Amino acid sequence: MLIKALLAVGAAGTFALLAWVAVPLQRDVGLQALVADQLAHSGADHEITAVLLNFRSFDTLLEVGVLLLAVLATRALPTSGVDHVLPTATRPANTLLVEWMLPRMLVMAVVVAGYLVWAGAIRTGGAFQAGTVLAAAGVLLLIGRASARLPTGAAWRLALAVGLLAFVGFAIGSGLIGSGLLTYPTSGAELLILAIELGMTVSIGACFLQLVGGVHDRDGEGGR
Amino acid sequence: MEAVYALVGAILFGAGLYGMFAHRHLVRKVIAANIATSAVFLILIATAHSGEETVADPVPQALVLTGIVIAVSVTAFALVLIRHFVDLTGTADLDEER
Repeated sequence: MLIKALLAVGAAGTFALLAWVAVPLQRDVGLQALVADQLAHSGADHEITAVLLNFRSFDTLLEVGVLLLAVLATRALPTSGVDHVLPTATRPANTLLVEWMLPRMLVMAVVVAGYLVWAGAIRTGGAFQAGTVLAAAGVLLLIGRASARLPTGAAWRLALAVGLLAFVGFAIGSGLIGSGLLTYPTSGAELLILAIELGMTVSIGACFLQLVGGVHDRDGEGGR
Repeated sequence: MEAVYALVGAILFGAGLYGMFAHRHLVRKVIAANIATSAVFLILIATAHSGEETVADPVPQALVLTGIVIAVSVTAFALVLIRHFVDLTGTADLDEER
């Protein structure tokens, strides 16, 4: 009881400190002027995409790396009788609605994901949103189809890694050319950004799906 | 007005931090950690909108976007570890008297 009281005091103190620091922060000037200044040279017309893929591309590279690392770590843990499906108890009956909806939803999801990547250059959207939509479609398929399994094999592993590979390839390439690590060439930055975004979309979608499916890795046991 | 976001973020972070240490159930700890993470995102987004500027600062927004993916990765890995822990011990509770 005493420990919980101490913890509560500590949490309240953290809150007070955080509020004291964070509330005045908003009165400071942000980086929007700097970003708007350099936007024309970035190869993207949307500020957030420009920050993610150009100004702070190192963060994004590491992020895709962490995502892949999480996938590797979950796959490295020993499992008994690996079968990547959701527990049978949680599966819905294969009603007409599921049968009719599922393929159409999947097609929709792929179209929406493609649009989101494309839209990322000029408005809200991009690899993260598109990858999430793809992963959601995959989860829908895993839940809705009794026969659906997480894919395995070389093609799937390539899909998991292609985002990081594309990014690292670009980093090495830009270093070899001598323009500087992760610095885009003055012409053709748009195409490079689009290519990296496409690779990241596939990877983020695949990794999320692998993470969701990897948590439920046994058939028929149900929750404990 | 935007101070509300930062304040709520601070409250949530305190609550998440408390939950992470006070609860003995592993899934509760993961949920509490997620609440604390979301609180950080909320504060970051709150700082993105600064007073008189009409355009929000894109850098914190991009950082939050990155952070969300990291948070999902960490959560998934934690859940797999918990699953493994349950397999080995039969419980997800850290209390020994059970």
